[in-house]
Amino acid sequence: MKQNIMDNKVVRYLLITYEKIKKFFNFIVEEGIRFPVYILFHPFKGFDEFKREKRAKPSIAIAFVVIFILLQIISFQYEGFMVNQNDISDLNTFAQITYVLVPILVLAFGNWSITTLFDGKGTIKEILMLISYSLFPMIITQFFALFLSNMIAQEEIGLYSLVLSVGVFATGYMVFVGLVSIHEYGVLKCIITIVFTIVAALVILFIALLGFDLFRKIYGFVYTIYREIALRYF
Amino acid sequence: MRKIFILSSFILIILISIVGSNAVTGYNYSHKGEPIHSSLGLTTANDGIFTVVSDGWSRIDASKFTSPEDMYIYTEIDDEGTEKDIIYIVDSSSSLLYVFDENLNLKSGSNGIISKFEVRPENFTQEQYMKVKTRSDTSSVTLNSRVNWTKFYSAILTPEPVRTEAQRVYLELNGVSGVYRAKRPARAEDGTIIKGEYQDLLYLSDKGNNQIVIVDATDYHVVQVVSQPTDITFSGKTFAPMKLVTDSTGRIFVISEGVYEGIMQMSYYGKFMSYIGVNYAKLTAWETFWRRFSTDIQLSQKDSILNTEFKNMAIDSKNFIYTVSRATTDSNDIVDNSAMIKKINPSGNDTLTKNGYSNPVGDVVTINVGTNLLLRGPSRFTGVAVNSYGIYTVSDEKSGRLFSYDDEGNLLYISAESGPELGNLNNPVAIRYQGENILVLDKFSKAVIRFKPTDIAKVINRAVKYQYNGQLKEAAEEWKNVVSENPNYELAYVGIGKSLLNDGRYEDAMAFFQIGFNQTYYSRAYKSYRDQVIKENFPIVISMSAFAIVLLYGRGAFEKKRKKFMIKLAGDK
Repeated sequence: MKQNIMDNKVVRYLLITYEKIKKFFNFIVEEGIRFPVYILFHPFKGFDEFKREKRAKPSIAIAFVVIFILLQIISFQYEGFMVNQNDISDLNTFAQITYVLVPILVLAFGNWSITTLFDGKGTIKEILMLISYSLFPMIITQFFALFLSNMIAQEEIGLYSLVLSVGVFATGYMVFVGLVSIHEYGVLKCIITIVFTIVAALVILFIALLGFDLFRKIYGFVYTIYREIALRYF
Repeated sequence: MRKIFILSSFILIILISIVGSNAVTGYNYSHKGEPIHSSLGLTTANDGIFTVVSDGWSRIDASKFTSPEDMYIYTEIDDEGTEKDIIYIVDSSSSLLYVFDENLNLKSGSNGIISKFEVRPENFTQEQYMKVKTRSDTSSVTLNSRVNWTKFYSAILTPEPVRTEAQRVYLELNGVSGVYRAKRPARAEDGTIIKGEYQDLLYLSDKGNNQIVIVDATDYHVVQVVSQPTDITFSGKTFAPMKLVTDSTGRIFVISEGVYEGIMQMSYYGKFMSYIGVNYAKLTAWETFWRRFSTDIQLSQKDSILNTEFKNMAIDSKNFIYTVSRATTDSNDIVDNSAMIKKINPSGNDTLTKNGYSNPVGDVVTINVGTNLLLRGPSRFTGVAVNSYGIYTVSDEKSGRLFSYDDEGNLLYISAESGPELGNLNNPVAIRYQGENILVLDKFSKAVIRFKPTDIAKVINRAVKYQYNGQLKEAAEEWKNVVSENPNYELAYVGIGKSLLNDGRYEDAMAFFQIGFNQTYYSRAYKSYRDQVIKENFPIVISMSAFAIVLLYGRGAFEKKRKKFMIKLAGDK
């Protein structure tokens, strides 16, 4: 009996998996690389798609943040000696994570709390995704800088910092245009809200510090009572 | 069994006493400027502490050795060429000059303690004589009020060797605070230098009499007196010389108390010429702006911002003057400690090399808060000494420590500490090299303490000496010994790396420079390494890429021709 090869379970499974993998990679290339590049070079059209057509994917946004954190950690160890005098024993992964996450979260919430008052149309989800999509140029340049830093002498450090600053500039540009787009602002209003965002971020940090201090004091108080009881009665 | 046990424990005890670790740990600063454990550089032993109770000091009255101010070591070379050190110490309260031999035994007879210096009429004009001051009990008077000029000058009728004691006139110092001995070229009456003839002179800064007394080093008669300068730029100031050095041409460099303009440079004849090495206090732009608009009353209520004065200095064989001064503090309490040590070249500019991990500032990590002002702030240097191959050591009165740097500005080792013991430094006022050893005069314990380099410091010194002379290979061998003793010693890795770099072993050198955290040399080694790699792979890379270009271009050209040929073929049909 002639059996169609397509009827074989294993072959079918393999083919489906192949299709899935292909689809996954297509998705990554399309959404993770092509789309951010498209936004970078056509910011207004790009952010229109980003917001209206809901092309921004939370999964990609989270992936960008994770990659950025990983790059920070890798840079700490593997950047060339010319630009990196870190002692590897000083590497604290949690610190690296907070250095990336805390500014993003604080700025996003600061911006959100200001723009809701200023008739901004963006939601907190959009702001968070906007910031993490904007990390894309920084990720690319830092990746190149990582290789470049291992190939430079002292006089060429300028080249390295140029590469990095291009990334920082592109990220700033993307964030700015993105804020204009998703909140449907004019340029001037956007600048004003950015200034207020910084103020709001400072307020948030201040309150957080206050909270920490209060917590520490309460903890100290409870601990002293515990010590007192433990030493007196036990 | 018992015998074996006793025997083995006996052997064990002997072994322990032989091996016995007696390494004293000190500290040094890492490339990050953090204190790390390191070996002590210089140590002192019981036989290296000299006070009034020492054997050789029995003739010194303890009440006349209460505030020693300065010490100088001069190496005399006699006719046979043997070198012999002679050590001078001055005491400011009794204004005496003590003279010791190289082992700090007081010189015998009247050569040991010098209290007065003869002034001879043949060396002085009337004008010069009128200015000379001497001590009367504790105050300062002119010598002329004691012995007037005509009486003084009449002694010239009697030739010097047969003068009676009554005819001789003596000068007494008042609060002497500095001593220095050097040779200077002799000059004829008209000022021309007499070739091959030198004057061997002892310079004493006579602070209470506001003058510098220059006496002959052998019989202590006064040759010259440098009085208060009459220069217009010095008007309104008091000349109170603290420390002085001279260069090989006989110029005198003086640190004067209360003179904030810098070090006073004086000519061979004691004429004030200029200030050098000024320690400017810096004002920020905002402060200058604010001061412009404040009234005189407001200004007078502010702390006055002063340039710091110099504390001490030393001169090396190439006429570079090493100076130490306090850190400057501006009105915002921002401390600037970058110019505490200076190396002033003969034209008056600071040329100190600062290639070390941290700048030469003594303690890099300092306490900056708290009420104890004695412990607060940057190191407070009081003395500096420089040896023949560029190592300079500064003494810090705050922590009682000695910091030794090489000529590149690398911190080599830190020694000594403050404390209640006799060998501790609490107020080091003078520090001098005696060969490899260092002698420190401590005003607090009124003692001279001799510091000897430890075994590892000797190796470090040798390595620095080789490096100073450009013998990198020999230096690297010594640095290897240093590393085997103290792997924390980062500077040694750089030393080894330099030798490897010189040998063309760039990749190895890079590894050593990375451990030694020296970016400049790493970069240098890396560039050579990169060139090497490119040079080695250049033919392959170029031929491959040429082949690729030919292939790409050739294919295109071939296709074009083929198409043309096909069209032609079609046209023919």
